[in-house]
Amino acid sequence: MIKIESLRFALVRDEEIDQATPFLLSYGLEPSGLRASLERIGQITPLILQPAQGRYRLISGYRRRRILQELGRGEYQALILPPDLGDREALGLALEDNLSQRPFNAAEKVLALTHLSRFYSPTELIQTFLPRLGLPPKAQYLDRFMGLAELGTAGLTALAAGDLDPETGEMIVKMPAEDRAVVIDLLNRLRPGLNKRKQIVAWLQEIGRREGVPVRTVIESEAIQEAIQDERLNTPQKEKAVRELLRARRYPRLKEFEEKQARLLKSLNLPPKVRLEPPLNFEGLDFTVRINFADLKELKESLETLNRLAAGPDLAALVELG
Amino acid sequence: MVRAGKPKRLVIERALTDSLLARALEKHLPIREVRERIGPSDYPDFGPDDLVLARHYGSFIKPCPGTRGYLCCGLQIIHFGLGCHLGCTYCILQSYLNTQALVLFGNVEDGLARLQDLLARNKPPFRRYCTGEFTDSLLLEDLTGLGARLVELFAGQSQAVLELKTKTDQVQTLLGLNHGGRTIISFSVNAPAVAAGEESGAAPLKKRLAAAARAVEHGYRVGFHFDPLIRHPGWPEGYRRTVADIFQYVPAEAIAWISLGAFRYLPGLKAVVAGRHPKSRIMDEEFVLAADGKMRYLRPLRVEIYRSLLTFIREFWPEACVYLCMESPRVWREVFGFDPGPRSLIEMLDQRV
Repeated sequence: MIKIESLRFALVRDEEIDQATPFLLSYGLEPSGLRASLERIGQITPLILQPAQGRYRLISGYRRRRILQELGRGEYQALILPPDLGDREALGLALEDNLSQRPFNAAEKVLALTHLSRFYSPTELIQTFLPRLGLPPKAQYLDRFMGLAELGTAGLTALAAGDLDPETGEMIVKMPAEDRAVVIDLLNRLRPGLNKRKQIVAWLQEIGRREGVPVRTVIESEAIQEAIQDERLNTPQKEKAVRELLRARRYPRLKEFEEKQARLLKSLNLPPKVRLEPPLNFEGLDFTVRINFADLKELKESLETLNRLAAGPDLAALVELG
Repeated sequence: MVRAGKPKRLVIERALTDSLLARALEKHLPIREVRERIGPSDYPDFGPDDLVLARHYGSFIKPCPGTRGYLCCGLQIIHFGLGCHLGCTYCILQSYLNTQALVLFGNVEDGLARLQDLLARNKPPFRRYCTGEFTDSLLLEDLTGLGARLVELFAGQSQAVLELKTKTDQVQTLLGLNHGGRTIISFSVNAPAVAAGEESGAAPLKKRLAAAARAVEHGYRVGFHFDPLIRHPGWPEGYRRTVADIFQYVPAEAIAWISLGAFRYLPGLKAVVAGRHPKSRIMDEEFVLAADGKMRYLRPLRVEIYRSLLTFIREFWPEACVYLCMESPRVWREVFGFDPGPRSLIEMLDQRV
């Protein structure tokens, strides 16, 4: 722990501070209350600075400085660290300062772990810092978050905004660099929820592997581009259309069976109060018939219809299909 | 031979340090640690290099659980350990077990005593017992000799047989035994591309078949399990090749049965395979969620592969005893033209032995 007597407070002019941000831990949208607070009552929390080569380097307070700059303030309250304090300790202070003010978004966790990995072993990162960042102390989480640094600006921005989750991000990182941007762009356009997002990325990967084509080629196919650019559809409708296209391409035989089943069901022309449900995925054991009726006459009519259908070829074909 | 390495060290529960199994294993492996108690919740502490000797508190003999709606062959499982280090990409144990270590039950003598009690009754109904449900039957046979002890235990039985299932070729310890024709040594086999690419730690296919031939020379009957059948580029030619090889190595009359089981898995396995075997393509086919909660190939795809295998096998031996492992009556009908029902399948296999 740093000794309190080695710290001092000072007022520091903006031009005395380097523009570099060696321990940047902020990423994405600024917290909504910060700008309003700084506008209303000014700077309460000091920047953390360290003397370096006749100037100061910014250890913590990147956002506060930027907003105060935009508000036209040229001088800041600052906590000045001893010049001989090492980078590892300075980073520790920056981390605690940031974590005390807000929970980190996923992109910020990536940044934090990337910085920390310069000074700590994987075991220390797993046991000490993953829990500090709200992550389970397991190697797979360290690997995942360290790997996410490869996502680039678009991916980290999506992570910070919550438009991309770390698990899906990990799937995207494993793709070739040329595919990643195209996938992230697709997700940004469709804005699917968490589970649908994972499904879309998994299907894209699997289609690419099955067909031996890059993922971007799948996305750039005519049908998908048409769905994305269809002005008659809103975003959820586009997302649904794209998912249906991907599913049909990922499961062509299943789709073929489903279409055949739908045609046969339609050809039965069942009365409105009779429902016939085939087994799930052509795999279950039993068909189910549901009959709603208001009186005996209606029941008899439905049963007669079913009897007639049971003797005909369409229901037999449907049952044969499974 | 198996291509996977053996465990490198032992971890033993203190109360088991004097057990027969511990003494046998200590001759081959250094002890890494003796722990006061090792329960299932401790298993994740151990890695693929560890052989864990722990006490088993559950039943050592239990019927194969089967699944409603799917026909089960009715085996009784002798449960002496769990885990496997052959590293097959498709292995369902990866999603069942919470460890990559191999666990053997150090109090297996209790299980063998229970088995002896059951066998001593020597009364109907006829029972087929097997090991190899949660681990490979012969994986550590050269270290433990458990398989050989079981073979001798079953030798005089009239109401029971033993099936040892393996993907190794480690039959050496079984060859000189008086087995009384009551043990079937079964080999899990696959198409050459699957055996080479997805079973990289197991014995090469030809070695397995050579081991089967050696077992037959010593009077054993053998079984073959095409399980899991995996659709892959060129699968018809691949499976035809393996069927041809089987009949080249082993005389048809020495084959007790051949089972067919298409690849199926609990949904959680997909992520495990993606993480541990990123180059494997086995998950890229069309799978659907089946009534037993497992992902299975879409039914017509299963029927297609079963029919093909059945045709290949019957070309070599029209009377072969072929059955489907955990399949629905409907699939049986589509493949064989009939559905044996659960009792008849069990009786059919009982009669074979």
